[in-house]
Amino acid sequence: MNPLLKVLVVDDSRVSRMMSSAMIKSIRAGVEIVEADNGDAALLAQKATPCDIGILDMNMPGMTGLELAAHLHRLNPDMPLALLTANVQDSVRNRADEEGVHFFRKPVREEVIGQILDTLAPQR
Amino acid sequence: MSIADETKHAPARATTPAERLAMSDLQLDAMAETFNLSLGEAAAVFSQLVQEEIELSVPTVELLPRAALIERLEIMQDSGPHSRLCSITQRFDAAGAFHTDTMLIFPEDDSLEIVRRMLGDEATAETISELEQDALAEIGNIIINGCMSSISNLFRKEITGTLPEVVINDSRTLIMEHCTADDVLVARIGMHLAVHNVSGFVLFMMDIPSIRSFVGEIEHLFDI
Repeated sequence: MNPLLKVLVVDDSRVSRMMSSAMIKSIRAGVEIVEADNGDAALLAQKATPCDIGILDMNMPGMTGLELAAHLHRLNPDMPLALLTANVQDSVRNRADEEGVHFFRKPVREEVIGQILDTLAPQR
Repeated sequence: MSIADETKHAPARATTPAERLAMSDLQLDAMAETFNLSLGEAAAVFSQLVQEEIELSVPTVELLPRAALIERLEIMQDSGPHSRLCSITQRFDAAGAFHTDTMLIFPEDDSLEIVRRMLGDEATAETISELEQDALAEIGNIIINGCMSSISNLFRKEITGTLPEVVINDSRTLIMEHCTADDVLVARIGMHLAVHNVSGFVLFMMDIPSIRSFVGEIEHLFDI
């Protein structure tokens, strides 16, 4: 049996976290989800319950999703991360590329969540 | 000076904001095309959000005195059974070149319908009520950022924004609280769902220096 996949979902919008979490669970069985509503809370959560992959919003109170990505990569350079954001400026997309973060566009949809899971944690 | 005073003291034929800014037809046309592109982007995102194909009206772009904008919104506000509008506002700054308060406005009833569609058929009335403010903020965030990202990519200029603020109020209060500029750049697009007409405004509220700077970016973009 495959070990449980742990997914960190970080978004200041509660409804977006709820939708992402529900879609992840409907697509993949046996997934544990850890939610956080800002970067600081996400870092604390990741230290307490290390997750395998992370799905991050960009525009949040406090640190941005890309700043959070840099912190998460300092904790674990191999952690696959996705930026799921409405901020689809080329400059943000380029900085995500430089940080090694996959870029996906909001709104939260099952198709997009499926692509994120296939990219960050392909099933064997 | 109040709007009533402004009206009382207005000349017989008031100059339009475009005339006061000395904008040519070509500049106005280029501005319309810029917003056409960005509002089209926002509409595509909106369609994904409500999980339904939507019919779009032709976007219109106007420079209006603030009092005229309030009159327009009052017409929109009175079209529904409740006389309030829902607004989601974010302030953007384009690397010091221009700044704008960008506001997405729906009649209050329409905004609730959009939340229902975003959350899906399984969402109970209790859930919708509990998540309404958060969902509206996220809807505004997605649509407004779609719009501003498009403008950023066209101008090749990074634009930073604040987090969305949701306010439900009458049109006069909404505009008076958010808009200090005398002239307002108003880009409007109608978005109609199959079973429920939803008409939304996107407003770009800029002061005169910002409008001039914005026009400068457009001139550079279109080489005019």
